[in-house]
Amino acid sequence: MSEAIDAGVEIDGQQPAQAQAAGDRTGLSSATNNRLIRAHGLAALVTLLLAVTFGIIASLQFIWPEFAGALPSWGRLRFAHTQGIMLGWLGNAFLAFLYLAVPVLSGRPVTSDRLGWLILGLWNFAVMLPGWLLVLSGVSQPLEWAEFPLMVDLVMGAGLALAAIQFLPGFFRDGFENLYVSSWYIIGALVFSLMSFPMGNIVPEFVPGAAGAAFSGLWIHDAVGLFVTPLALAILYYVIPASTGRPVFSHFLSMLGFWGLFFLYPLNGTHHYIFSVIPMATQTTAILASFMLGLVVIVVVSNLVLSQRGAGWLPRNPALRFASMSVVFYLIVSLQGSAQADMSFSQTIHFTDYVIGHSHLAMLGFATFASIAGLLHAWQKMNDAPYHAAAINWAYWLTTVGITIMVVDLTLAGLVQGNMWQEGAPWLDALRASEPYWLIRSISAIPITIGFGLLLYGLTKGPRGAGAQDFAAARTTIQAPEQDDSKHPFSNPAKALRMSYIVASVAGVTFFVFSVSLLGLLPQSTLDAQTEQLAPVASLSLTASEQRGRQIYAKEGCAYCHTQQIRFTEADIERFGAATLAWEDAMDTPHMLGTRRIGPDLSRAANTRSDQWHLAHLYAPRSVVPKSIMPSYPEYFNGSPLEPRQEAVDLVAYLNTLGRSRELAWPEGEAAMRTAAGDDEWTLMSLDASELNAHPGRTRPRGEAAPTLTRQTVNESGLRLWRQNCESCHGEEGAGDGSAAPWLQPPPINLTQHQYRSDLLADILWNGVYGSSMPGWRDRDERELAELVAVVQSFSAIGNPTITSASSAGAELFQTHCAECHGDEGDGDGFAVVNLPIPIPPTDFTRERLSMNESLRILRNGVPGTSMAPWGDRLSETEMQSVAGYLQTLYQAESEVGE
Amino acid sequence: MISAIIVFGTLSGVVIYSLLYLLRPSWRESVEQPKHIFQQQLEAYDQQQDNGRRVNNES
Repeated sequence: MSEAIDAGVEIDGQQPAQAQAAGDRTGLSSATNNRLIRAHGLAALVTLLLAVTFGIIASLQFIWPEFAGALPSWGRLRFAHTQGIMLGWLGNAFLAFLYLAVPVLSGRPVTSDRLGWLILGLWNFAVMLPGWLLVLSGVSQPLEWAEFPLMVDLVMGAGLALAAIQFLPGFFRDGFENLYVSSWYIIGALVFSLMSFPMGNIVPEFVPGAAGAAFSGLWIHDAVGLFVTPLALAILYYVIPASTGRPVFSHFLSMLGFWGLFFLYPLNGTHHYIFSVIPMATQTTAILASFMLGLVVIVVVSNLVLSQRGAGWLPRNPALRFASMSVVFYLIVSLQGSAQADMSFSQTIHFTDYVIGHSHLAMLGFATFASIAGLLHAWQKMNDAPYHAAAINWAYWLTTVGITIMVVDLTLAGLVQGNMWQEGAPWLDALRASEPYWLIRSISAIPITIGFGLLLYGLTKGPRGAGAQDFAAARTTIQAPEQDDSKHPFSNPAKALRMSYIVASVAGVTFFVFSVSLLGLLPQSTLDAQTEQLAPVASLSLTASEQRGRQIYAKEGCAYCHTQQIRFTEADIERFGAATLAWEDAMDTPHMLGTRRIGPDLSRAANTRSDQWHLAHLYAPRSVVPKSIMPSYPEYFNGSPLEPRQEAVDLVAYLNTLGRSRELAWPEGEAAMRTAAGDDEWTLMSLDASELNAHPGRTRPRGEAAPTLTRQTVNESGLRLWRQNCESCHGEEGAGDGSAAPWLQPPPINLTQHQYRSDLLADILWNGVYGSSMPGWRDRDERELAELVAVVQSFSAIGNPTITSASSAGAELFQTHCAECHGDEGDGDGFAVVNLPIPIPPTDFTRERLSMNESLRILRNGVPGTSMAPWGDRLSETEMQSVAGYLQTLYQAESEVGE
Repeated sequence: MISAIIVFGTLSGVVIYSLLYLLRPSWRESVEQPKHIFQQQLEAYDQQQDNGRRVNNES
């Protein structure tokens, strides 16, 4: 009998050792415990409100990009938002719960009260506070869920280690075959977080490119799967039986779920990089593990739901109510996660708001509700804690409604975005379609924030000890049948069970090592080999300026809106160009592959836009892209894009390196890669792309596959297209006086003084003007291009001038001074074109007619930013008149050429 | 190959664990025991809290 009692078995009414210990030993430091619970709980709620505030500001900037422009940029706010939610809010809430749960579960107090205060101080004043201040001031690392800089990571690692020392020893003193499932989750979370934390926070700082991303992927999922989820589940497995007064439905299912989660979660990480260059074997392993994880979660959720039998659909106890809703969110978010790993589904929804909805459901839904349940339960157990039941009740309804609206809204937004991207819709159209959803997302934050505020109020105001009364009153409302197995007399715990847990523990750690090898080290070795095999040239290392630009790109969080990975999917290749191969980012440390596209992918940003366009876009994005939601960065300029500071110059220099190596290697490099690739289908898919850089706005030489457009009349659709895409440079009436015009060289054409033939306009719209800021518009269909042609032609004020016979003087002057660039026939095809210092094609006067005034203005002043020099000091006024008159005669109207 | 190992390994573990649970009552009792112990731990803790509250009220 004594052996049975020692082992924790209740026989003949005697309490097991652990239960006795719970009563006896926890009292040793319960007063300090309660203070630590309250301190961590309040720190959690304060950081929650701050983190949510960062998120709300960032979300409002989707709708009003200049909102709170004086605050740190969108990217920095996002860093502060996500790190605040995970480490500040959830981290503190979990720690608060552990001070309640660990003494009860282990039967022993935590290791040291002083250590408790040290961890509290470290977590909040050496991790959260400096972490936030640093990322908001631009010192960060561009790694998802790991944005706090390396120095803070080291402190955080120490904090996790101290937490393990604080909470774990008690669990190992009486053997572990009788450990309750919450204990397992707590042990698992602290041990595995310690192991996985460096994977995402430190390793990618030293492992470049896609190989570094593989490690990031591990952490992205492990942060949720091995830190947040286990501790949230530990709370649920604690609060539900504590609130119902009845054991969980099945400890067998609990443990099945526990081992399933810890075996499979570490293998999930790479599903964040499906269709990337990371080896397909690694991707399929992650996908498979994700599907299996879905099954495990169904087991866990079934068990948790059955454990609430008798508590009703809407439990009276608010802690149980939050726990109950957390279980629902957990089921949905997990099934979402498994579905998202499906390759065909991922192809559509990856990079969209669907994933953002998923992560909000995980962190603000499942984990937050579980954490609130833990806090409420802890408050209910403290005799002297303030507790305002009505405020907490309102907090439940407001947060539930708000999060539900937010997740449904973001899910729909993601489906809309994904489908539009798959169909090849213009990027800005997808942005415009997202606007209503983003507005609803921001609105949904109102009830959520009020709810969190009420929660803080409810746990700081109100009668002291009211929580205990609430708990006791709620307990009486639960009508649950006794469980059958509760009456079993227990024999000695099977030694085999102890052995099985030992085996499972070792296997769990082995699986983690396996996952790191499989999802981290193996891809690294494969990608290194692929780089060595395929790289046709050594990638150019970045200059000092480009390197500085990269750091700015990183600290502003550009990688959180612009991916740098063209996936091996048709839609990506058609829109952006050849899929990114491993060697292209083999020198990027840390990687910036990204997991979200609010703006387009920038893998091939080099040679896509002019420097001046970039500068104008950075200074005032909406001056060149009216519907852009990109944050502006005026702090990198001295008041104008014409006066960039070194930071802006550096940033543009960096943008011009993206995709540079592959472009420089072309075409010999592509041929060499094809030879080296053998029959590797993924590499061949990249090499077979129709264009290396397929960006619709990239300028190409004239004549390249320009479509023949059907004539259209000016209509509302064309005018709307003009306003949305052209007006910012060319002005409302096409006079070349748009808001961005003063910042661009060559300046936008004054269309009122030009007359274009339709085929030339089609050519310009399709290919852009090479070397200028006039982009191509290849993402527009032919009808839209034809409508734009009609609008542009309608601006011309030239009319049909009476052309007299050309003066021989004008012709002679043209042949002497102009024909070498503009061609003998004036068609812009002179012999000197290939050697022009600025490669903007000379005007084709056979298809474009300038007014006399415009011709004379250009002759006198030249065109800044082109190779057209001023001729005012070399030709007399009379001579220029002659030349301008001659130019009029070169134009061949469409009717004359039979179109 | 790797995927097969994961599937096979995980399912094998589940099947063995489940069969033991279903076929051996002593195993089943041992596996379920911690939840009852936990319930007693909770009750003991609640009792301690009640005692503390009573002392506070009396003082």
